[in-house]
Amino acid sequence: MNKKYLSALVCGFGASVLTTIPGVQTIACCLLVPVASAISIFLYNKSQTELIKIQTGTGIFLGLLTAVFAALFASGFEIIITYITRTSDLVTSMPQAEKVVKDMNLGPAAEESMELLKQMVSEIQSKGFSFLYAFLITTTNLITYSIFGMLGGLIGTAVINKRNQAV
Amino acid sequence: MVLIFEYRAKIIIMRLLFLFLLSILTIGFLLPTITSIDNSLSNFLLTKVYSTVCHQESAKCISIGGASMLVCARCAGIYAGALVSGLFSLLTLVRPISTKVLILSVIPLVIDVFFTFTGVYNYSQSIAFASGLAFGGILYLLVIAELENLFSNKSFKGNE
Repeated sequence: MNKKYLSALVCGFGASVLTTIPGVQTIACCLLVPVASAISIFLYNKSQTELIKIQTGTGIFLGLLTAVFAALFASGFEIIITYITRTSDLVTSMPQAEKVVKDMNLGPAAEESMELLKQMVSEIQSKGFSFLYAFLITTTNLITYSIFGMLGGLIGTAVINKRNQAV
Repeated sequence: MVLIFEYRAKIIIMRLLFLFLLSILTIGFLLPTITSIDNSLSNFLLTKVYSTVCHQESAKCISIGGASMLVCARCAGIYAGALVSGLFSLLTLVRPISTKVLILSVIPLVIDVFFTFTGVYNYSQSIAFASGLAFGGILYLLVIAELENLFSNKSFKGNE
């Protein structure tokens, strides 16, 4: 496998594992994926000994790749955990959401979205899997992780290049 | 001369575009505090989107009028700092940011996380917000400088 993809795969997997550990995100907050992207570039730089300067485009691409791997693994972990436990944060927050919709009388749009949520909850509780839920979490993970991964790639490239120049 | 003018125009457009994207991200987490429109599915989706980048502990999220933001005070500070930097960068030239400055901006954030985690003092939303503010501002300038570097390299290569 190309070393570029290997470092992204390793760091993406590492970041996705960390996101599943309760409490880690409380400390790492929004820095988990950007840091993983930066480490991925650092590993790529280490593997390419003859490389003096990493191109910014390569850094962004590596960051994006790390984020995509992290998003796919994180979604996979969440789907597996949901399947085993037959519950998720959607199921636990459902009674509260129902109460809000009832109390505020928000009209037909809110009622329709509530029906969709109810369908997802019932599928998760009965089968442990909801296609719509899996699709939604994978999409949201892909979007946000990609943005933060590219930013991490950009910053990581800048920091590593400046360090290389100093050496 | 024309080349330099075109380049400056492209840089300003890029900065505006980047600021626009950042504004969308900021409006996204502010949405529950600025609008009373409620839709369970959109609420669930927005919460889910920001949960991937923030722990969203209710005690650590800033509340306005009984509604909480979708990110914690520290993350809100990072976004706010980046927005302020973004607005300033439209008016002035962005000088390259050294790694030391970036590290210096992270230090207050790390110290605050460490002290609250070890219980030296209790979590304060204002301290967390302020520590994120400096980091977000510097980070934005670094990202913009790097993007412009990429952009200028491509422009000059294209004209060779």
